[in-house]
Amino acid sequence: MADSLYVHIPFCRQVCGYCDFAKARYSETLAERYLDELEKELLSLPETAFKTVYIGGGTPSALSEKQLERLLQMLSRFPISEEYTMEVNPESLSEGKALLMKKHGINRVSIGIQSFNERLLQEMERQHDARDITNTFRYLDQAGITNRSIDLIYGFHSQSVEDVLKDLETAVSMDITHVSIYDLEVHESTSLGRKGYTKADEETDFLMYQTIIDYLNSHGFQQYEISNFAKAGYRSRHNLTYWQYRDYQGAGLAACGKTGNIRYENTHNFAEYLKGSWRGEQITLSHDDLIFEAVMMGLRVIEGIDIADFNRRFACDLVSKYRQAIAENTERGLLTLTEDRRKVTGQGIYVLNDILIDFMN
Amino acid sequence: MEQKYIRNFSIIAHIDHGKSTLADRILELTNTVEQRDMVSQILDDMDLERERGITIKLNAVSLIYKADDGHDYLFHLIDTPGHVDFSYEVSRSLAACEGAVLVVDATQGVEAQTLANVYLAIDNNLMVIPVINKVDLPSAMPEQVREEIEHDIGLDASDAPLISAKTGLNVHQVLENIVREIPAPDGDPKAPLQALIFDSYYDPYRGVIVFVRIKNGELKVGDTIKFMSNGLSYQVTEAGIRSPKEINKPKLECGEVGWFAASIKSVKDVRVGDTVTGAERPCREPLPGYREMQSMVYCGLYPTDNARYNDLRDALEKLQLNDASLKFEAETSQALGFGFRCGFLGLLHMDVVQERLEREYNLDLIATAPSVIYEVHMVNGEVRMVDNPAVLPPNQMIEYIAEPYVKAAIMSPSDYIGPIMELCQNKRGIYQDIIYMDDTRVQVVYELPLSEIIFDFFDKLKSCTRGYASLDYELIGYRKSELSKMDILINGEPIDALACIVHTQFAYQRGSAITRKLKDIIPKQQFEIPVQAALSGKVIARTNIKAYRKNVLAKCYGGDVSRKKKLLEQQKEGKKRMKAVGSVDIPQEAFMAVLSMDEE
Repeated sequence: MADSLYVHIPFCRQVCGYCDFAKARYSETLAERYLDELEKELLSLPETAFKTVYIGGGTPSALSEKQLERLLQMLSRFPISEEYTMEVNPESLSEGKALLMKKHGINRVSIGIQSFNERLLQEMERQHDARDITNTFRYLDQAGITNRSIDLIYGFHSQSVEDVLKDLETAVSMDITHVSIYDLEVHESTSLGRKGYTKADEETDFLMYQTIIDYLNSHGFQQYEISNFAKAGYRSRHNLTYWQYRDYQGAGLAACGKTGNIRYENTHNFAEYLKGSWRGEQITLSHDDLIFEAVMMGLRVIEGIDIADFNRRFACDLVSKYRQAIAENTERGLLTLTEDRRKVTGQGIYVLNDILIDFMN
Repeated sequence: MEQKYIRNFSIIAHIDHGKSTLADRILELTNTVEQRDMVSQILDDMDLERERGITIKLNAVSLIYKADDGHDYLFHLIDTPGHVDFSYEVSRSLAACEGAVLVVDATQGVEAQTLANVYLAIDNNLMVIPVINKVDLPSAMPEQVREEIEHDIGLDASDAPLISAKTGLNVHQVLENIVREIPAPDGDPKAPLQALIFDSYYDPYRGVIVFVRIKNGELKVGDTIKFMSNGLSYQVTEAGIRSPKEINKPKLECGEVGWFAASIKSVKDVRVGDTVTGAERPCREPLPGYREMQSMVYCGLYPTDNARYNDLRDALEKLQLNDASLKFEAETSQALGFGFRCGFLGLLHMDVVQERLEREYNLDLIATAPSVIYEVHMVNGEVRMVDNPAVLPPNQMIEYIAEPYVKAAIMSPSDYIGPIMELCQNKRGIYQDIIYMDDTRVQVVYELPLSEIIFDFFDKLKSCTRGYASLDYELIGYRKSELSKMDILINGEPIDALACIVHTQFAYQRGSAITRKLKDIIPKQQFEIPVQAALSGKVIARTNIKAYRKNVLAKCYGGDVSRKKKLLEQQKEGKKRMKAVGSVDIPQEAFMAVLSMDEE
């Protein structure tokens, strides 16, 4: 049985300039119809316990209180043993919603801050301001949800390394346990993409990333994945499910799941989803696919891949299967092989794609 | 068929002016091809030709036309390729005809290639009859185009039919004009056999099929014939015409165009322009105009995947069965591994061969920059012919280097003399002559190093004359030049496949242009890469390719696996198109960069 469940809520109060997830402007009636369908989909899942559940989006907090309650009610049929996360955005969280979340057992939030710099927030077409952030933390305090992650973005054209440092300084001063910080990607389909937005130059971008790693590691937030940093004991268990390539279910528009060698992806088309044809495509992964994807996900984790565990789970011999790729990248100082773990080195994480291409035999 | 009822002709036209469509329509109107069998543009039977809109392989079709005078006429329609690389083949095809139908697009008017081919036809004493095509299009300007034909080409166009090859409008008139204006062939049926070879192809079951025009005498199945250029004799096993399917005949008569087979093993023995005669009763002299096929341009072809070397050799051998002008021999490059040095008629020929290898034989290739053959005079008196800059002996062993020169005749409207001369001067040309053909047309004659015109000369010429100029060139021999080998070093290693031979005077300029160009072409890699140009070990130019810093996906969660894997696959594909030289991945374009001198 799958360890984890992902639930997608594809609504936002305002669509951000950089976002290429499946989402739409929030409307009450549309959200209502969506929840009707989502309910059916969730009911089609067997009633099992999950170690982790993650409600993402879009912006789950964009739902009205009533709708949020309905959503959490639907999910209450699944016992959740470890971690129950919901994404919230500062402009749409309210005290009422925070209390509801607590009431239904949500024990972790991921807050879409993106930056503390108002000019940059405008540049990325975000709606919230500093006051919204203060309020968000107050509501969470009141509800007693203390395991908090924040999302940040760097790599903007008009951003300096100093700007990044300021965001980091603010971040570590807050009452949070976890930081996800992403390099800006400009996708053609987004508003920034259509405007032809260019991001920070490569040198600056690289320096920002190195600065982030240095800063957070030395301020109590240990890097444990390419873009994720956590205080001791606060790694995202849900996301580790993905990186350790364990099974997970997905529900909602464009959600994905994997069970054994089957991966499915729900439709990205709203109309289709609302008609009840949730499932988009389903593919059967070959043994080689499984092994490669497990490597592709596993090497993202700084601790690396536990070789003994890997070999047992995928019935293979990782080291001999990828002998050449491993030798070449070890030679270049990009990979290290310790007794039972293979990990990318400090240099290797910058060029993980190159390493993975070598693994694509 | 009596000789007076035979008409041999070609259709000449600029690309896209409707040559093939008119040929299709003629075949239809004469019921040569049933409409339902009609593959559009039946004469171009290679995919590549159809896609590029150019005809590479010549072909001939025979058809019967019942004219308004009540007689049946036997038409032989001979197709011609349309590029300067193949101008010799075009001229031999035209030499097999008495006339040519000139197709001009009513919306485009007279264009460069039109001129070039008309002059070739006139040189071969052909009767040229103009027709104005595409008059059904709203933007057609038939009267203006009629005037252009008279003024720019100097042909009488007052009777030129206004046609639409697409709809068939007035195509009948074209056929009548062919009957009326193109002369019947005038050979002597009783004389010894004298036939002109204008094409051939290899058939795995019957050997080489030879296309000929019987100038005098006749060619019968069972006869022993002889090729006059090489003296080889064969017995004719089959003969016939194409309509366009093959039709066997016991003999080909004087004035006719047709094919024969004689168990000939190799197309190399069958040379375009050569004369076929009887072994028993040979004619006294060969037909004029025969030229030995000469490779003008050489380049190295290498499989990106070294394991496919044998596949490449097999593919080249198969192509050569049908293309006697393709030459190749094995060579090794330190940078590129095992490959072949290949000789071509010109750059288009090179492109076509390369494209066919990639497309029909599914090979990924790296082509090195094309080179001419240099004559290297050594200090010890020895003379070596070098077609690959990489194998040029060290400078101290060389007395001097000579390079091939051509005499280039550029035909153009007189308005463009200035730009043409400027272009030729820039390409180290030596002015010879300007001949005024009439008050609007000139022929500009220059002597130029072949190496300067093999790359982009033709394109430049066309752009500086708005497409009106035509180019013909012939080799006039070797001349001593101030030439020197320039090495290109990537990451400190000289890359043999990037070496080039440059004129000393331009070395500095070219060295910096090449290094700058390579910097743009070679993608950033994990480490900084210096790119240098050096003459005799002395660096004369340098750039650096900066290392890229990051190549990692920032976000990758449960929903991203498929998408992110595709991204990696794309990156991997990109790498596959490159050749790993030492630790640097070099893309195919880099090997051509040594030729592009445009960016200053």
